Amino acid sequence: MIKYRLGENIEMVIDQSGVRLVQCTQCGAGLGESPTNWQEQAKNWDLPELWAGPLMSDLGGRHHLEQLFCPSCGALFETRIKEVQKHPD
Amino acid sequence: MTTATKTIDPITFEILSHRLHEVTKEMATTLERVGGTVNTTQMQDYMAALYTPSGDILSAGDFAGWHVACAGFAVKHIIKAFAGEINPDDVFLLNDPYVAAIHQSDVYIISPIHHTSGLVGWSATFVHVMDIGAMSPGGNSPGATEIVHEGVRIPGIKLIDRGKLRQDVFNAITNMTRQPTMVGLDLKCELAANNVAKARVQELCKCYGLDLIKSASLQLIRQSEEVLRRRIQEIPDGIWTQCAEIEADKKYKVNLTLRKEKDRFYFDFTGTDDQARVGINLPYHATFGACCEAILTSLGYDIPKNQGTFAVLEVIAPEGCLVNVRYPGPVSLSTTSGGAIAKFLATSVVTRCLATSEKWRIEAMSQTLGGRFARHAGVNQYGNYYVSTLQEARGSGATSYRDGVDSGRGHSSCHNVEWVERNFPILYLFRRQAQDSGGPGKYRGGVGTEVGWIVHEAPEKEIRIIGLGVVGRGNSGQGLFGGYPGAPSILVHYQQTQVKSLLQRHVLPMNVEGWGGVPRAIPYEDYILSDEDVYYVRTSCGGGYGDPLERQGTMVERDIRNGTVSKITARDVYGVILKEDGSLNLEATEVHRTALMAKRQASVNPEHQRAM
Repeated sequence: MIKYRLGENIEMVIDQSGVRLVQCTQCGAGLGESPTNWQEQAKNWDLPELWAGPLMSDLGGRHHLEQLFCPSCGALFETRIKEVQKHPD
Repeated sequence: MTTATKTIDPITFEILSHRLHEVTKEMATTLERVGGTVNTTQMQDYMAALYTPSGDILSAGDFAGWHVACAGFAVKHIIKAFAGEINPDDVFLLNDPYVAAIHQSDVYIISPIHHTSGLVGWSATFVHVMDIGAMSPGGNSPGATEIVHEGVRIPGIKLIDRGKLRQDVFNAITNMTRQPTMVGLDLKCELAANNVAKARVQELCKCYGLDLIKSASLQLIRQSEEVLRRRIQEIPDGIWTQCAEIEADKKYKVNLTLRKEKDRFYFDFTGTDDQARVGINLPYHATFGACCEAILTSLGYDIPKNQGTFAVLEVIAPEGCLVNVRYPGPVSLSTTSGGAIAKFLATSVVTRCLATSEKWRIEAMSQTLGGRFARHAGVNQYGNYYVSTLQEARGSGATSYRDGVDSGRGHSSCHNVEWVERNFPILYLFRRQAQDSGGPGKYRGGVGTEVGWIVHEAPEKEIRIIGLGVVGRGNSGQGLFGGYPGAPSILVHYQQTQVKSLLQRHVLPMNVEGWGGVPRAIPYEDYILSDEDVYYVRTSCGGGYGDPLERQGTMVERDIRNGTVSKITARDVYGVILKEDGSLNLEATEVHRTALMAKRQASVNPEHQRAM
């Protein structure tokens, strides 16, 4: 079995028969077979930009933080900043 | 490249390798001691390197990889353009971005080094000269829409002919700038550094013999390439993509795909937007250099930088796109805008590539963009016209094992405030670390700096400011693997403030809120800062690494004590609760973090839930 890290809390496992599985390193929850499309299997939510600190207000409320995390244990995979037309509630 | 194969013992090889490295360091020291501008003497915006007789990079010291690569293009161009006319003690000058420079302000001085038997190598330096006769003082011209607006552009000229300075050429060049004396000093510090290189390399040839030097050079280049290829081979093959935006007259997108295959990297910028009307564009050689730098800073930081380390990559950038500008596209803003984006993307994809390797993932680091800074020009308190630069310290990105450096990052250093106040009509209100500016994470991004200053004792009651850097939301640290972004970098013009009247009443206005006046965010712009205005900048700040809820409570406690993180951010973002005496409340922290994690797992906001 070969393991490749895709991030701090996510990895890809290839077994002896060549089958690939992307999984959470914290709880082992499966996230599909593709090293690029695992994001479709992750859980996500959008947070106001201020979630990253008070100085983010200089972005003018036009962005949010998108977080991708494990649907099973909540381990965080990615935090991205994205422009939105409508501010999240 | 030389074909000499003289056997060399390991000890002599190490001595020669280090001697060559030390020559480049001595060249740098010479630049600083002979130069006179803030850029050269305090910010270290320069490069010094040695090249083989054929123009391959031999020793590039500790300098930024992309300038070393570009100077390599410059040396090879001079060899070709002046074939048959290269004599001992000649010196050449080149600053054409359509040949090798990144923008005209970066002036390369290139010298052949001869020993008894002929040409034995080349030395090259660049400094960012303080003016180049462009539309705006300092060379970076936000109003330029083609290269001819951006100042003196020389594709190669002989500045010293067989040891004799061509004074007419020297005068012609400096006379086309706003500061002939200072630019002359810039050029002379480069000449001095190249003289040092020539003397030291000639000493080496005399001491060890030319054949041994040639063998050591060949071996040095081969060794660096072999070590780097071996390291690349250790990383799993794969493909990584990332894109970024930069705002100028409109938003421009830069795309990068990294393909790692066996022992080579392929950087492909296909899909990047067409070149811009303003000078944020990057010449191809600079894009190539940016990718080289990404590899060297992550996988090759301990390897002697030379042609071998530049042989492991291929860079694809369609002609006419933002990172491979087509003539006559402008480039004067490029180093700190398009260049910053290219370096950010290259280091980002390399970092994600490294993360897949158990051996190399420790080098993974969240990447930081250049942020905002400015040049300034006008008449100083002594009645003399001047042009200069202000660049404050940035926060660096967090890595897989430690926090980013607080107010400690930048390819160049920041200037001394007292020196600046003594020489220019400027009075600082404050220069300090910006609280809560580092991106939260298991390891926190380094906090940036915020600065406020006013025009002081300016005879004309105003000076000019030229706003540079990266404009847009993504101009600061980007988090990695769950880490949050750093605070955005901003450049703000506060107009018609009450600051001077407050100072007259002995009130030191330390907070932006107390200034009054009208704030205006500055894009790429050449504008007037008047007697009643305030210049404010917050630099880029490091992105975080990993989940902030995994950060050790004691580290957050220390952050609060140091003033880098506020108590509110500690509670809301890191989930850390303090006792009344300021020490960590471990139990309350665990309870609070569990509650925050439960909120995340419950995904309270189904409206924004992606389809599963």
